[in-house]
Amino acid sequence: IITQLFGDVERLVNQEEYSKALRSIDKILQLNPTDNDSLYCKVITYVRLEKYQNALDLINKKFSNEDQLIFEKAYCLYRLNRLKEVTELLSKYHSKGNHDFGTRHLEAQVSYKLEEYDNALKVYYGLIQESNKNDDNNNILTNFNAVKAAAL
Amino acid sequence: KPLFFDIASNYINYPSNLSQR
Ligand SMILES: [K+]
Repeated sequence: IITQLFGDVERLVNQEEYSKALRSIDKILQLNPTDNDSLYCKVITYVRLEKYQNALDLINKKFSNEDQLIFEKAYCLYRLNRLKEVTELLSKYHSKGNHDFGTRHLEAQVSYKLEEYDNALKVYYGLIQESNKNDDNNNILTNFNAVKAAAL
Repeated sequence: KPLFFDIASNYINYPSNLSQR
């Protein structure tokens, strides 16, 4: 039955039926409250439904190691306009030697929004150095130029 | 104001092959 419910979740998210997907995820969690895949799917589904506080609460409750779901956590804080917390969280994460593309991209964007242009430029510059391997190349370059213009 | 692309939730994705679970 769990396999069938995961099949339902997969079909519903492909159809962008996120409220229905959430109901199927909750059915799995009733059967197995600690199922990590379901908990992770629930976080993503809250994000798709723009229920960022719910997503954040779930991450803090069920993925409580500080670097678990770091991008998801930072993204929710960003959407909740808690920008200072995002930069604190991500700069701490990056200072430990992590250099995920997504978290650095988010750090740069939030630095820009906080008008911390030096940091935004530094992070975007690093991303550009490696972004020819990445589909986000044009967006990164565009944002780098926007920060340069703002910093003048 | 120059164009600026907002990072999107497409950095956050469901695990693949959920139905294989
Ligand atoms: K978005």
